[in-house]
Amino acid sequence: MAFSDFYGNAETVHQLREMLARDHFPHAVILAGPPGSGKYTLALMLARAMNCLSPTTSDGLPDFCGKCSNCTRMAQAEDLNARVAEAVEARENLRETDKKETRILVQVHPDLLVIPPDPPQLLIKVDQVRRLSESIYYRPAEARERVYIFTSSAFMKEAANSLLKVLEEPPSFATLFLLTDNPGEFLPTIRSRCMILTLAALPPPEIESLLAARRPDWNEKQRALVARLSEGAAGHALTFDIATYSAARANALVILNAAARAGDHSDLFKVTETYRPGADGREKTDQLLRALYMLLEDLMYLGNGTPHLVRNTDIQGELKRLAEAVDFDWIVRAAHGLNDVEKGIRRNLLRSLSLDAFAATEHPSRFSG
Amino acid sequence: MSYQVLARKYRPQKFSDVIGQDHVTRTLKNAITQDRVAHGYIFSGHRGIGKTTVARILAMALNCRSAEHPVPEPCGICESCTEIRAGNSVDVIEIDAATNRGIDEIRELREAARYRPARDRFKIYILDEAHQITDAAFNALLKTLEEPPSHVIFMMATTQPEDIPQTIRSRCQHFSFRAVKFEEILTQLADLTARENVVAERDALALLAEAGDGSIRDALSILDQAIASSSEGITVDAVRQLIGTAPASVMEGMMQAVIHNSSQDILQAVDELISEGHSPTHLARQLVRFLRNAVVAKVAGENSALLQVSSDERARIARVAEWFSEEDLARHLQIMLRTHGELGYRQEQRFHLELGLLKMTHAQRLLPIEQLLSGAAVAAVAAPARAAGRAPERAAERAPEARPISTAPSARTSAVSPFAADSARKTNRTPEMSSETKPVQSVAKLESSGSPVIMGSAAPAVEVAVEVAAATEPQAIRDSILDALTDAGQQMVVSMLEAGEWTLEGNQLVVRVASSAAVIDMTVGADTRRIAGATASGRAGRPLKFTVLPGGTESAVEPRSTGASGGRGRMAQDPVVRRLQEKFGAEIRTVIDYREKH
Ligand SMILES: [Zn+2]
Ligand SMILES: [Zn+2]
Repeated sequence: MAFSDFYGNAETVHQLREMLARDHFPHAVILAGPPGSGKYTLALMLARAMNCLSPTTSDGLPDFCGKCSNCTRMAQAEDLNARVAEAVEARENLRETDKKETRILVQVHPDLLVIPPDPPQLLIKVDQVRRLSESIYYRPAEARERVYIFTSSAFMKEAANSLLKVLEEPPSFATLFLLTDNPGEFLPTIRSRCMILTLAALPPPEIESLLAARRPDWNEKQRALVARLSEGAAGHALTFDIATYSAARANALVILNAAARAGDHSDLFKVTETYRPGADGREKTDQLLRALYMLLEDLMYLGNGTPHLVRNTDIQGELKRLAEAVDFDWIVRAAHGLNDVEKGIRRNLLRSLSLDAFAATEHPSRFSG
Repeated sequence: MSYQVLARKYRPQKFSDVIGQDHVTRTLKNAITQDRVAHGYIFSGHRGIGKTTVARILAMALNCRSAEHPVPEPCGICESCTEIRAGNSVDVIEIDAATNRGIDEIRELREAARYRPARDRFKIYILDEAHQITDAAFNALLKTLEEPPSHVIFMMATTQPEDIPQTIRSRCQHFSFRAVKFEEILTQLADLTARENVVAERDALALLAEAGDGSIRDALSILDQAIASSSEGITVDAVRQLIGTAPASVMEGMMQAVIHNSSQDILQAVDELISEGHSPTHLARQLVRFLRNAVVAKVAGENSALLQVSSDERARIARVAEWFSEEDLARHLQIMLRTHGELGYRQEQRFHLELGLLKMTHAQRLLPIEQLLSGAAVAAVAAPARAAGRAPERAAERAPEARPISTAPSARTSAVSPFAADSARKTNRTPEMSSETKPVQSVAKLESSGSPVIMGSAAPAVEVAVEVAAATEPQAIRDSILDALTDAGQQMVVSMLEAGEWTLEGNQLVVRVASSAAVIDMTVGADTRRIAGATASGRAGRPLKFTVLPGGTESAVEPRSTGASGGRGRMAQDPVVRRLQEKFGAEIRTVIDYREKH
């Protein structure tokens, strides 16, 4: 593992390493970019470059050896999902009373703390931030730099507020990485105290060539499709689950068709039945929402003279038919409705309820009068 | 890593070093000289403009050991001063209200406040982010503020003074900090880069100052980044890239696509910009700024001093202003304002930006705007009621959630907003607290001429005659609301409401304004309603619903009875500003800056 393994956004990576070389690395960095664009991978690489015991250089810039005890221990945090799953399982085995007060944190090295959103609400909570504010002012034990990585920008209000003070006067030996899909989700006061770097979406051809090398199991058509659906995120593209997406999209199409046409709602109910809250309910719902947005955006492209921007290239025909049945105002209302559904879900409403309501608001005949 | 950020390295240590807040520092110095120090201070204003810094300097000045008494300017070298600067003074306690907002912390604080200072003259509590303090904790604090020991001083810094209970506010001197002027920030940036031996292009610094948007700390923070990321000198290109600003030609191109009704050009441009790494939020913000400038150019002429932009950008703005009518520009500005406002909360930012941009082309096509907006709103509100064969109680339950962004004002007021619970809470608080505490309630206003004291009195006492719920006159409530909205930075709304007719109708506070329903809806947001509702209810001592309706006539702006409106009153006389206000509810903050520069 070294910086050469990071795919894409060479300029941004270069800039970060250059600041490292000049000992001018900011204390707080917001890494923004779509899911799968490599924010976490990059933050973890930088953590190692800051703390490698036998630091190397490449292209005249700092790199890390990947073999020393700091590098290898920090590398254990690479598979974040696995580490979080272990932590969640450990928590499950606690006594009920302790369970409630235990927060998920990933610490594979005394000077590296990874702070994921705490399940089941998947928010960063004040107790998690407290772990940071309690430890950050102590000099690192075995490394040169204490590194904290927040993997989500979904903070509980109190948690965000308690992060503010630390951000205002962080100690000279600590660096915070705040990862987000959307820097707008942070409090402006947090944003203004961080350097914001964006991992831009990679163009589809670039992703296609990456996939050609790394996913030979997909045929050319599938690779072209995934390159567009992954919205420029290399990591997302490499691990793209075509089957799951297709299922979510099929349901999304049923909902949109029901919303666009008068008449029978029975299909719709069948779909929404499957979105009852449950163990995997949240993820499933998120996938459905993403598919709905993606389809709406494609409909907008078709209706506004830019068919070449359509992502769901494999169902162009069906999309064209649907696009003819709706107009721009309908898409605008649908997007607003969908946004409300999303807000409802964030407030932990019954998911199926919100989705039914979305389809109900979408019915075009309601807007004719 | 090992370097210190500029904002900390150059944090002002004297009142005279503080930039852009002369009205505050002058008054504080005078108060010290005249031995009129208050026991409670509220410092309010946008982030990063020096509230906490001034609080610390005031603490130093009060406890400085260079004389036998408080000094108007701290010496900076005595034990007291250096300890306060280092943040380890025993008698100056800085509390981050964001993390210590609970009743226990405040009780502890109250207990500790009873003891005399360990060494210095005053025991000073600086409460940062004070609006975060819980109601119960404020209540506990109030007891100390009612009968403060002579050695105790509280200083509260906050971005949301309207969230501090009136009972507390009335016992504090309130200083409203201004957004720092573009030129003051620019001078500061030039000064600091020189001191840091950093070579910087003048235009690059101007870009940084602009990006600071009235906040010194934000500007310095971006300067830090620019220094960090460019090894040899700070160039315009480097800064542009750093703050993700697209060149003005892109904005001109967008508006050209709008006038040509070319949706595909817009979508194509967005695709290119996004793949270059531009953020949708930033693009929306830039377009808002560009359109606002185009409105200014249209109304005041392209050579207006109100346009603080480079000559290249000025020419582009002038061209765009040429292509559109005033009404069209206003409409597009409103669409982009709303789009930008909404992007922050959304996941699919690109899609929502695209929709916002396309709305401009469609609005250009489909006139009039009222029809466009109200048509959608009526349908949207009606829709959730029909719940597609589900049980009726379920339908009722989901109605507020399923309501799409409704655009008709009448619909909006009745919608359950996420803040409703909060404002209800706030509403109930004032009467509760006053019954619990003694009815000594001062709403006296300090009217010393030219003083920036906005509300409250230094002496928390005596005017028992003034009842808590005395405000039955819409005029009094109006002033409080306008003040609260001014504090919240909602200049556009203030300028609209100021010219309206205010009446109390039962439990409704109704403002009739000359603008159309569509414009009202675009200007008066959920935040405004929350603040106005809470303030109105707080002043009246009973729950009041705040409603803005069209159908008012254009009336002369009555000056507010408080100090806050001094600059505003003057500004309102300016014919260009009047026109901007009437037509577009333009961003008045810029106008204030301009007027004060002369
Ligand atoms: Zn190593
Ligand atoms: Zn001193």
